[in-house]
This record gives sequence, C-alpha cells and structure tokens, in this order.
Amino acid sequence: MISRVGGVLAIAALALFLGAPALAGTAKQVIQDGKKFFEIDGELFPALEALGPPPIPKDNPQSVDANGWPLTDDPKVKLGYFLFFEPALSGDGSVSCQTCHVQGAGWALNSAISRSYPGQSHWRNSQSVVNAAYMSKLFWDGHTASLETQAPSAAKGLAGNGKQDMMTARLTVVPEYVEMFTAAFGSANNPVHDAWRALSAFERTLTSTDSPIDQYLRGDEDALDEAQLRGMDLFNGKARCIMCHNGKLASDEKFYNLGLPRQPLFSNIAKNQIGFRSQNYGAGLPEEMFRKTKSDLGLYHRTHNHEDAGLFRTQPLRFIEYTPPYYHNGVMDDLYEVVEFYNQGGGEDYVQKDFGYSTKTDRLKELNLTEDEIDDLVVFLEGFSGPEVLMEIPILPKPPARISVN
Amino acid sequence: MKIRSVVALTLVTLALLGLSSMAASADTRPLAPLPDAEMPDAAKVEIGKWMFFEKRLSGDGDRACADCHLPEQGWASSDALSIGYPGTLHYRNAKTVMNVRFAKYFYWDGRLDGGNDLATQARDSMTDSHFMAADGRIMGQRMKQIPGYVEMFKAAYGGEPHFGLIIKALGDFEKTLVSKNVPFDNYLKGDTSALSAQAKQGLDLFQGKANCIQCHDGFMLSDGEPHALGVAVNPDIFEVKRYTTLRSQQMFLGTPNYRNLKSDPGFFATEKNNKYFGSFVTPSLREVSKTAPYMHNGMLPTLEAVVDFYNEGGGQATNKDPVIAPLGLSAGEKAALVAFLESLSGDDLGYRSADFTEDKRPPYQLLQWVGQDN
Repeated sequence: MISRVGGVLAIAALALFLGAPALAGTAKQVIQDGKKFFEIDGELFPALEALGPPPIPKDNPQSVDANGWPLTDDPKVKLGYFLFFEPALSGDGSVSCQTCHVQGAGWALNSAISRSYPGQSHWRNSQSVVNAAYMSKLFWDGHTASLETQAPSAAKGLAGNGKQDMMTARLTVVPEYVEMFTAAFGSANNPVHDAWRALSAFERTLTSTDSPIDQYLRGDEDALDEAQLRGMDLFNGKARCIMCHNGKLASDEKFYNLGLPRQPLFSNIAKNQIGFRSQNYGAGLPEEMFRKTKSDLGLYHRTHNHEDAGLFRTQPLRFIEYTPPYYHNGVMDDLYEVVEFYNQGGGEDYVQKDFGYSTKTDRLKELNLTEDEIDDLVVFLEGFSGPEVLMEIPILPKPPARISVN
Repeated sequence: MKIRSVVALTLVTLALLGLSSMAASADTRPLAPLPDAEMPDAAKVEIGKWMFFEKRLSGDGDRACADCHLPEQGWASSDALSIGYPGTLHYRNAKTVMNVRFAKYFYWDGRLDGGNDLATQARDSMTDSHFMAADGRIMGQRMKQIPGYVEMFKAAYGGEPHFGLIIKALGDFEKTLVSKNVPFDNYLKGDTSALSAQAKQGLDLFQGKANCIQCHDGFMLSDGEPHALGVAVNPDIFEVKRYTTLRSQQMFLGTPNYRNLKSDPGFFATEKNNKYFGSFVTPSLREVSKTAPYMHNGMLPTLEAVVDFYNEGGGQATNKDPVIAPLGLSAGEKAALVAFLESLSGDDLGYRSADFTEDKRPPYQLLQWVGQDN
C-alpha cells in the first residue's frame, strides 16, 4: 500500500484526466509525484493504466518490434505455438496446454474446475493465458513467478502428469521438432527445458491491450459509454474495487480471503474430492487440518502460515468477459453474481468456520449499491475485454512410425 | 524332521549331479527345490492381491500390475514386448512375478537389488513413466476413498492406506507367488516318478552336455548374473512408441549416447561397463513353460526355439559369454531338454484376472470431513 504523504494534490474534478461526465463522482482521485491514485479509507491505490508491451526476461529473450511488442515470426514463438497444442508434453501423450486453456473459452476453460489427466480430477479453475505475460505471480496461490516456471508446474503436475525423460524422448523422435528447437535454441539437446521457454515466448504474444478501457485510458474519450463511466467511478470509489484491482494489470497481485462460497463439487463427487484432498495431502497439511479442510487454503499451501489460509491472488480483469466461471473454485457464473457478492461485503469466512480464526480481508464491506449501480459496474467490467484472441490450430508434426538410427 | 529332510535333499541332489556326464564347474551351485519361505500375514496378502489387480494405482487409472503380469500367462505376458502406460509401449518382455521373492536382482537389466525388497520394485514400476506413472500421494488418496479397501488396511495395518503401505502390501502378495507342487522339486525331494524318463534325460543334459547349469544354477535355476548371448535385436523396438520408451528410460539411467542406441544396452545401463553392453540377468527357469515368448525381447517364441538357439552357440555379439558354444545336441536330446524345462512349472495358483474386473473392485466413495457435514 502507498502511504499518504504531504504534497498530495487532490483533484476535485475527474474530468481533467478521465473525461468523466459532469456528475458527482464517488471516487476520490489523488495525484502524487505525477502519478494518479484513488483514495479509499485513507489509503492510496494506483489508478488503472493502459497496458504496454509485456516484460521479457533477460534469460529468455525474444525478438520485439520498435515499440517492444513481441514478434510472432521469432523461431521461439513459432515453436511455442506448436508446443502449446502438443500433447506429447504430458504423461500419457493426451494432454496439451490447450486442454485446459481453450482459445474459444478465453484461453481458459468454461467449467468451474479445470481438467486433469485421464483418471484424475483437478481442484482449481483454469485461468486465461491471455495477458499472463504481465504477471509476476502465476497460479491462484502464486506459486510460480514466471511463465517459464508455470509451464512445467502444470505439465508435470496435476494437469499433465508429464515426466521429464518421456517428454524429452517424445520430442526428440520428431524431426521437425529437432529442427525447430535447433532454430530457436541452437540445439535440441535439452528440449523439455527449452519447451517451457518457447511456450513462454509464445504466451508473450497472447496479449489483450486494446480493450475499451485501454483505449479510454490512452485518451479515447468515446471508448466508454456513459453507463461505463459511471461504473468506472464506482470501481474507483464507492464499490472499492480499485483497492485490489489497480494499476496496469487491474490486480495488485496480492492475496486476500474474500469468504467465497465453498465449491460443492468437492462434497458431492468422489473423484473431485480425491483431486482436492490429494493436493492438501501433497502440500503437507498436518493431519488434523487435512481431516477438517473443506475449502481450498490457497496461499497457505505455499507458506504454511496460518494467517495465509484461504488467501488467493487478486485476479486481473482484462479478458474477463470470456472467462467465466469466476474465482479459484469457479463458484460464480457471471459478473452480476460477482458484483452482488462484493455488494454484500463478500461471504462467510470458511477459515473461521473450519479452524476458528478469521483471515477474511477487512477491505470488503457492504457497498449499498443500487440496482442501477450494479448494472453500471458490470458494463464497466465488460469494458476490460477487447476482441477475442483467436488463431488457427496448428497441424502438429508427427514422429515417423519407426525410428532409424545411424 | 526339517534338518533330516534338508540332508536327504542334499544327498539326492548330489546323487543327481553325479549322474551328469560332464561335471559342472566348481562355482555352480547344485539345483535344488525351492526353499520353504515364511508367508506374510494373510490380511496383508489379501490387500496386496487387490492392489496387484487395481488399475486405479496408475496415473490414468488404466494400468494394473496384472496388465503385464497376467496370472493366465504365467504372471508374465504372451506379448514379445510388453505394453506400457497409456500412450507408451515397452521395449522388453514382461518377466514373471512367480518366485520373484528369491530373485537376486529385479528387471532384465538388474537395476534393482532383489533381496526380498519387493516394495521397492513395486514403487519403481508404479512411478516409472512407461509403466504406471503414478504419483504416490495421489494413489494414497485414491485408496483412501475406496471404503472397501480402507477397512482392509485398517484391519491389517491399523491405519488408512498410504503409498508406503500400498507397495508393502504388493510385496507381501508377491511373496506368496511361489511355485507349488513342481514335478522337478518333487523329484528332488525323492519322488523318482515325478519326472518322465525323457525329462530325466533332459536334466542330465542340462547339467552336462548342454551345460545350461553354468548360468541356470541353484534352486532358482539362475545365477542372477548378467550375460551377453547375442539374441537378435527385436526390430519392433524401433516402433516409435517403443523406441521412445527406450530413449526415455536410458536417458533416466544415464546411458551415454542414449539417443543413438541401436539395441538394448541391458545391464550396461546399470554398470556402465562396456563389457556388459547387451547383457541381461539370467532369468529363473521356474514356471518357464508358461511364460513364452522368451528372452529379454521375446525374440524366441518357444522353448524349442530357445534350445535351438543355444544348440547353435547363441547369437552374434562381440562380448558374447564364452560359455555359450555350439552344443551338438540331437533332436532327441533337444526334446529331452524341453521335457525337463517343462517339469519346472508347478500348479496353477488359481487367480483369474476376471475376478478383479472393474465391476468387482470396490468403487470410489465420498469421504466425510471430520466434525463437519459434507
């Protein structure tokens, strides 16, 4: 959080910056060191900003245009494009990235709980790959800090059950892949490690930065309609969204417990319960907690700090229109449900219920939004989504039926 | 009583050896009946039996131990080369599990010590990417949600299933897979009618002219050591899914130049010594009549073909074991050897895969959380 210091310049009218209509806004805007913030409960939160090109890590460079946008004709990107659809990167050769990140479903999955490999169930909602390139905390509990480490975590874990040696062998028996790895990385000697890097380079081209809100934030005053502008004012003020959904990403990438409803799929389908409970077991929950844990403990899985139980990383909001259902356990089907949930100040803290202490964030309060205000907020949230990102599904190179060794 | 019978057996064995026309070299051990062995707790064996046939103990829930070790096929497989985890195929023949508790090393390449540590072998096969690709943590949870099994684990181990207990139970079940009522063993124990005259001739050849006992010695009829025989490469290992497994496993084992292998390196991968390239641990001959096809790659379809192979002095290999040389056996002698080999199989233990199909296995069920409603 940013503390309020002297020299804060309060702007009375939002119109100057945001082209807001002449109505009494609920948001309190503050300029500090030339940067724009909104003030809620005496704290400052960074204003939303348009997205520029995604950051590119120095240890996995890729070619960019004059403005820093990743180019799609980079051999790494081309390889990553094939590998995204390539089921060889899994245990039984049947699961690819696109199994859970379907381009027609916003590069996520239109189901509450994501898929696992055959015979197994997953336990969390699949998130969009679009704009994942901007994030420094991936997965709902933020357990990886880069695309390069996210990919193996999924492919070798609950999603893919892939094993390093088998995946290596599967890639090296395909001559086209040997060529592509050589073109992108100089050799095909370490193809699985390089596969994660190629996938990451490809994912850095999966961006959505031209949503109506981005256009508006770049200065196109007509990009948002009146209702959306009213919604934006609520977002930044009365509805308190900006407290967590702020800055370029519309996410502070911090962790909160909102008191989300439990996912009933873990209580009424045995196979889902196995997926859920095996993750708790794998995370090393103490016996008593393991027996009691009915809801996902989120950040606790990483830190084993009790105050982190039930906390999940703030979700970025771009592309959100294409990626229902929402939240780590997919318990909400549409944005109205989401806004209603916040309007009630979130839900009952299941950590309190299960373990007798609360970790729910105190940022959630009853908002007293009117029906009209809820409508305005929802149409504003819809403004976070630009056009769908769609591409041709590649025809994958296949290995020969028999391998000849010289 | 027990001591007396051992002495008697030894005498019989020595007498039999005395019959050989060519004495085996000093370091071969006499053939002998299977020793009596302590059987594990029956409740644990019962669990292990269900685990052995349990497909849900693999990643995809579609492979059980019994898929490659079929009771109807001598607890091995009639495929020359084994199947594998879904999406994979193997490049070796599945060995029998019968009498495995006595094995000196596990697997054709001897990469695991035997010595009765069957749980470790079960763990390796369950977690290897080409066999069952299981995550032990998930397997434990899966078994915990099968109340029929949980009750069995509680009764046998005083607690719920987890991966450690699953592999122990598997080992305990496998310890009971011991040949029973074997004609050759009965013969060694004094029942001279247990072998036909032809089989007795074969035994004589086995220890004499055919010199099989050089490697197939002791009560397991195996020295447990690696030997190169020059068995022809099975061309099917170059099928992409089999070669992929070869490449994957040899990468895992640290075999140099693993991407360019033209044949199975065998024990070389374990020992990393060139003299072992293409050598494989001598298999036990017990139950051998039930486990066709033969050799590490299933290249020899019948026992007759195996005897022919040795009669011709084995195959082509620069490091071929010098003990392998042309034998000059007549047709009658070859038939006698086969008759002897057939006397090494005991009774059917009575297990049937059909008794463990999905409809007969207990289903997954929801678990109650402690102190809370579901």
